[in-house]
Parts: sequence; structure tokens; C-alpha cells
Amino acid sequence: MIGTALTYDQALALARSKGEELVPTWCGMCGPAPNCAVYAFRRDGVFTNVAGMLEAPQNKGRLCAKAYAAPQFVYSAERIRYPMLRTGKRGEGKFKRVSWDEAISFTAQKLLAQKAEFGAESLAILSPARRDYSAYLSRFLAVHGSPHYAHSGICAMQILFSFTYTLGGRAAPDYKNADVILIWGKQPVYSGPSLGSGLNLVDAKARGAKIYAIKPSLEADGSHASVWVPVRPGTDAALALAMLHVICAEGLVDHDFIANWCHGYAELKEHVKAFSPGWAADICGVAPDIITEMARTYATTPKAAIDFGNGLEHAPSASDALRAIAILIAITGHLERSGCNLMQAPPSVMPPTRELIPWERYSQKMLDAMVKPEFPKVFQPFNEGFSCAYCRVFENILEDNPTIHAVIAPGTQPLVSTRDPRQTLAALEKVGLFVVADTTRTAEMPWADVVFPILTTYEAAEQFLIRGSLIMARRPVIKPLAEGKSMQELLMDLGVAMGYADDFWQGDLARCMNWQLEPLSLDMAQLLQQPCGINYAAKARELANYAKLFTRKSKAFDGHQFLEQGKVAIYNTRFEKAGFSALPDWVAPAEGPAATPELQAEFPFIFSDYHTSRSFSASWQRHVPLLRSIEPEPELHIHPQSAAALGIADGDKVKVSSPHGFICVRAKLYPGIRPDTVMLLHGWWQGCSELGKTDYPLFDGGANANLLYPNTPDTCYDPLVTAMSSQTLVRVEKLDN
Amino acid sequence: MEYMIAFDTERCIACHACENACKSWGEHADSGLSMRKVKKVWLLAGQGEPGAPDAAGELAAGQTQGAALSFAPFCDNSIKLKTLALACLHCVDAACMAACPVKALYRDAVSARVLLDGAKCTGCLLCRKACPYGVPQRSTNKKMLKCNLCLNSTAESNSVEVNIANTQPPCVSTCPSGALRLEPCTVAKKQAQEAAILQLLNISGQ
Repeated sequence: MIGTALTYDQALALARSKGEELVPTWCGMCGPAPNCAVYAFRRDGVFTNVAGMLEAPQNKGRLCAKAYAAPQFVYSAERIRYPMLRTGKRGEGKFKRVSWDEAISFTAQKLLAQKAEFGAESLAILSPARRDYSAYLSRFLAVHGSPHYAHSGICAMQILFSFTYTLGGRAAPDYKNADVILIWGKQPVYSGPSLGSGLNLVDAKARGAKIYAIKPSLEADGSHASVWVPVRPGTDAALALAMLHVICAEGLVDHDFIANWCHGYAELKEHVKAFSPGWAADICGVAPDIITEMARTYATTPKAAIDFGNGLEHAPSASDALRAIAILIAITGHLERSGCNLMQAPPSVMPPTRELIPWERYSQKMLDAMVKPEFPKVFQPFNEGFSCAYCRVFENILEDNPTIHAVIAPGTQPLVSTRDPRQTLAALEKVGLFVVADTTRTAEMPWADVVFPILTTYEAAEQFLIRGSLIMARRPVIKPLAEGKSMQELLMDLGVAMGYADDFWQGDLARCMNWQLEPLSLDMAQLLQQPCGINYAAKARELANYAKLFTRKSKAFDGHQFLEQGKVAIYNTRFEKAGFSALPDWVAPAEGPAATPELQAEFPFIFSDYHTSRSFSASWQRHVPLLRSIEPEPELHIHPQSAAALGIADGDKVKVSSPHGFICVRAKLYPGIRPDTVMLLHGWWQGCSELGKTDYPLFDGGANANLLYPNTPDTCYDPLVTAMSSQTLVRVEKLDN
Repeated sequence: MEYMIAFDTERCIACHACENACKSWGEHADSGLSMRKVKKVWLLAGQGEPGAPDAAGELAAGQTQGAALSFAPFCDNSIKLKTLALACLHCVDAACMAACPVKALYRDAVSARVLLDGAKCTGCLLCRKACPYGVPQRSTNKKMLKCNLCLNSTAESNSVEVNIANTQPPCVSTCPSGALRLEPCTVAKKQAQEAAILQLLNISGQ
């Protein structure tokens, strides 16, 4: 046994010693996305095991718990094995098996008929988490003529938009050089631990960095933090504004940078006078001297970084919080400096591949036809093209004269992943066409008209993937176990069937790959000859070229520069002209101690959910025994004193009720959570037959966190970035066992 | 030369990769069990500090029954979370060896590991009860299993010295944050690790 972090030669020797074959490829267990590189092992045509690829610069042989579960995931009885068309009523889950071509043909005919009757904009495609096929989804919609690529409203884009229009782009923390790190609404050890986030954290601590963990509950990152700042869910904007108050009042700013590169500092300084740490303490539930100390330490430490994440994207004040943080980074002189926040990943000499999104297809007419935009239309198309809001698509379907008549759900589970499952269900029952495309049984499959089996990345046809400086082929390990294809091929086949063959390489995936690769003077045949792909040399990273960074241009039709003055948009004139606040402000979560105190008599606790976990990828993989063993049941994290006051012991079954529904889960006494807050991992629905666990109900009495939240458009969304709230109020009651 | 897998709680991120690597590649992979288990230990107000009491943490609900729900501004930096990835420590004074009625557990002279001879084991569980860390597990074939540092299985040689040069146990090589290290050790180092982990476990009440 020579370990799990192997070179190609070691992996080959190991394989041979076991009578197995070796297939270098990409891991596919956080959804098919270019993350970690692995060596897959195969015996007699059977996928047996996975080890880490030492040569890969991004993971260097490291692997997380999910990687090893790949064979179980691939061979699971929960796989969708063949295409199906619905026979019974929606929700009955009655299907007949059909061929791939028949399913394609059926779908194509329906979509073309709807295009003729309702316009191309009647098709909405729900966006999954970032996948290797995301750009293909955007392409398909653009070619078809629909603007309705429905982003989740809870992930990544909310940060990207807020930062892009404040600083010109996103700015990532330089962990390796930081002396102070603020981890804010982020879980660095669950999101890609093998990509180095865990290592960077413990190395920073070993170096003596002071680490603040700003979050309602301590997870494993909290074990390495020096200070826990237990902010109430959804109140991060108030915390950020209070930090700005301290920093502006005490002059702990980089005056030169402000003078040369910021627009609106004077207005900000005046604006934040109202947001004192004492004011914020009541809202955030954090003592004022903690806020003051953190602000001073961050501002006055030259090498200080902020690692912000998904936890900031789920509140009506999401864009306020994110804009305030972007401003914090800028005015304290921590933008584009070593140990701070950097706007570019380390560049390599790899030429960019050809872009899949056909920007020239986006038209004003399409934009005019868009309903429920994710960002104001004046700022679209944004980075991934046009986008509308996932949850609000269902709202539109339920209107009297809906725009949307078809929904495709590729690798995404709306009944478990978005707010208001009842609204989602009503919409799925009403909509003209509902298509599911996935590797594994999904929560909403019983309501689909068409189900396409998607092959796992361990079976699908070869592709190239790029991560940072590495380009490597993804090779299938085994022959397909399902009568299906990759998601890319589904979209290409559908495109061909609908008359868009010229835009989809006549349905030839290899031609599509090679077309993209041309700028690299490479084709798939050449790339396949490199077992570990090609790692391009690093290029020196140019820091602090503010003139260039602040004049980046958007992809909107007028090609406007993101930052109107070519400076940090502290006072954001573009947002102001679009009818939004020029400076970040404070808005309370729709349901909580600030907005609805009258509810607290009946519902005393704040409830929120964890977005990520070390064990599962979103709402998938609960059925995989190796992963389910890590986290066998949904657990409500509750402070021991709060539990004691309710007579609840560790492991007791409890009913958690909000004004909108209830779930039944086990209580986990958890010292590292705010006493006024309870939290649960999202995405629980699926059982695991190998461990004797059945599915949970999707609605009352199940474990679906999204059932508990309010969904009133006026109060529950951030109007600028359509971030959807994940805060509500609940009561917790012990259930008799 | 004596070997140990040193565990550093200051680097553990509780990702559970070690568990799944053991189940996939370890010498007991066939059992479906991991020889290494991740545990969370909550240290309340000063616990774990030198000189602090080892009393079990106050997690039992009964102790503060009737306390009112409190929603005042809250910040409790006295709470620390430690995570452990615990496997057999091959203790210098191995309680399991002393407890085994059939002498299935023995000390390997070369590496100083405590090894378990499955042929002799009767699955009586006395080793598990004796182990202060609760490490030995019973597999479905009724034999006890525990970590053996994965030093035995190469086709080339049975010599532990050669195996060490060529091997990294799967838990060690997969750990994304470098919390586990296979290294030569001394009696003193082993005892220090045994004591440190015992202190954490006693605090957690496990």
C-alpha cells in the first residue's frame, strides 16, 4: 500500500499489482465541475476505487470524503437507467420507458410548438450549481431565443454582482500571506477542502494569524478561529455598516487610496454615522466591543483578508452586506495587496478557450420579454448572459397569464433547493412541460413529463476541463450503466432536433470540444495522450493596476464600464440611476426579532440552514452509504441551555414549526451556536436503502428546511440581486418517541 | 524503529476524508469499517487549558432544566471546538493487551505496534471495554479490528522497514490539511499523544 496521493507511475504500478487498470480523470462528486484530479481504478470493467493525483496543482493528491464514494454513487440502484415519458398524472411517478431519440423528439416538438404559440421566452432552464455544462445551458437558451436562465438567487452570483459593481470584480482572500483573516458567512473547510482551503486555514493559524469566524454557529473552521463573532442570521449588513462606522469615525483608512481611487467616501462617512456598534449589537446580537475591536484590528493590520461566502447571499440585505464588505476592503487599503483581497487568480500562460456563450445573440427584444430578472435589466447581460430568478419562475407560472410554459431542471432539485416548496409544486403541476435531466432519482421526478438519464462523469464521453493552469481530459472509467449521455450531449441533441444543428456542431461532441480548444493549438486526441493533462506555466501576477481593474467593461448592450467613475463605487451612481440606494443600507430579514417581534411569543427562535456540508453535495448523495454514514440524519443544532429550557435532551425527536410549515428532526445539543438560533443542513429528502433509511416527506413532517421560510416577494428578496432569505422564526417542541 | 501516526488537532478540519480513505484503501477495507473516527469535542470555559478540571462538559439537559430562554447579545469565546480523528494509538501500556483473555493482542517487536491476531480473537469485546479510547470494533465476522498503521501489505516485502519507506497509510496521505503524519516515535512522544487525546475525550464525556 503506497497511499492515496500518487504520481502517475506510482498509480500505474499500484494498479498493475492489483491486476487493475488505471484511468486518470476528474472527480465528479461535487457535481460535474472541474475541481480535483484523480486516478480511477478498474478491474474487469468495474470501477473499484479512486486515489488522488499528485501532479494536479489544485489538489496535489488530496481528496475529500466524497471522492472515495464515487463507485457507490455510480453503481447505486437510485440511478436513472433509461429515458422515460410520463404515463399517469403528474406526481404519480408512472412512466414508460422510451428510447433516447424518442424522448428528444418528444421534447423538441413540445418546445417548438410552445415557441410558436408563446414565444421562445416561454422556456425556462433552472440553473444548477456551477457545472461543467453551465455554459451549454446558457448557449441553448440564447440560440433558442429565451432569456430565462434561472439562477438560484442564493449562490455566487449575488456576490459577483455586488462586488463587480463596487470594485470591478470579485476579490479573493490571500490566505498564504495574511496576518488577520475574517471568515464571514463562509465554511472554508466544507467547500472544497482538498483544493487547499483547509490547509490554508490551518497554516495561517500555525503562522500566528488572528482569525475571526463570523457566523451564527461554529463548525470545523471555528475550531481554528481565535475569535467567534456569533452574528445573527441575515444581519451581516448591520455588522458591516457598524465596522464602517468605526473605521470612518476613527480615520482608520488609506487616505491616498481614497483620494485617488474612490468615489463617494465623504457621503459614506456621513451615512454610516447612524450605524454605531451599539445600534448593530441589538440587531446582530454581538457585543459592541467585539465589533469595534474587529473593525480596528482589520483596518490597521496591513495584511488582512476577508474570506466571505454563501452565508451572505441569503438575505434581503445581501447586496448591502456585500457592498459594505467590498467598501471595507477598499477604503482600508486592503485591495490588491499581499495578504489582503486580490482581484485576479494567479494567471497562467494558457490561452482562453473559445467561449460557448453566443453574446451576439442576446437582443433587446429578448431582454424586454424577460420576466423576474435576477439583476435589473439595465445591467444585463451580466457574466453568464441573461439571467432571471429561479424561485420567481414558479411565481410567474402561477400567474394568470404566465410567460413561462416549460421548465427544464438539469442537475437541480427545485422542491428541495429553493424556497416555498408548495409554490414550486403548484407550478410544476400547472406548467405545460416539465423536463428532468439527472444521473439519479430526484425529489421532483414524479412530476416530470420527460426524464433524461444523464451519465455520471465516470461514464460519459471524453471532454476537456480546465481548473486554473491545468487542462486535462476527463476520461470515462467504465462503459455507461444507463441508456443516456452527458448533459452537453443532451443539449446538443435537443438543439439538432429543433433545427439548431449549426449552433451545436451538428450534434458532434468531439467537434464541439475541438472548436473550443483551437486557440490552444490542441485537440482532444492530443490532450488524451497526456495522462495528467497539461499544466501551463504561471505568469507574473500584476497587482494593483487599479486603472485597468476599475475600467472593466460590462457585457450589457451599452457596454458600460462597471464603475461609472473608474473608481471604487462607494457611492454607486449606477445603482442610484437604476432606482436603488446609492450607499449600502440596512434591511431586516422579513421574519425575525427586528421585523416581526410579535411572532416571537409563539416562535421564539431564529431558524436558518447550513448551505454546504462535508458529506453531501447539496440535495444529492444522501443515498450513498459511505457519505450517509458520516451524517446519518438531519440534526437541528440547538444550544444546550435553550434545549434544557424546553426539556429537550440530545437526540430527542423534535417538531420545528415556523409560520409556514413544520419539520420533524432530531435535536443535537450544540454549544457552538447562538442560544437564540437553531440551524439545520438543507437538502434532506432522500433515503438510503442500504442503511435502512427511507425518503423524508417533502412537506410538513419531513426535513426540508426550505418549507419553513416565508416567500413574500416584497420582503423576502433583496431587490437588487434577488437573494432569497433563509431566516425565519420557529418554535421547537419535543416529540414523544 | 518504532512508528506512530501523529495526529495534530490544530490541523484537523473534520472533513472525514480519513474515514473514507481507510474504508476504501486501508488494510481492513473489506470490513466496511473505518479504523479512524472523527469526533467533535466541545471545550467549555477554560477546559483543556493546562490545570483546568477534566470534568465532563455540561451538555446534559437535566442540569439546567427550567432555565429561561435567553436572547441577550451573545458572545462566548470561552467555547472552543476541537476535532479529533481517532484511531488506535498503539499505547505504550496497552490496556487491550492486558484485557485479552486469549492473547490475540500482542506487541510487534520491530515497530512496537499493538497487533491483533484474528485467528485467536473470539470477539468477546473485553479489549474494547478496556481501551480508554473505545477503539477496537467488531466486524461482521465477529472478529475485532483496529488500526495497524497499514504497514503490512506490499507484495514486495514483509519487512516493516521496507514497507515504511514505500508507504503512506491512506488516512495520512489523503488528509487535506496535514493533520496526520506517519513518523518514527519514542515512548515519550507516544505517551504525550495518549495523554493529550485522553484529556480531550474525558472532557467530552465520551
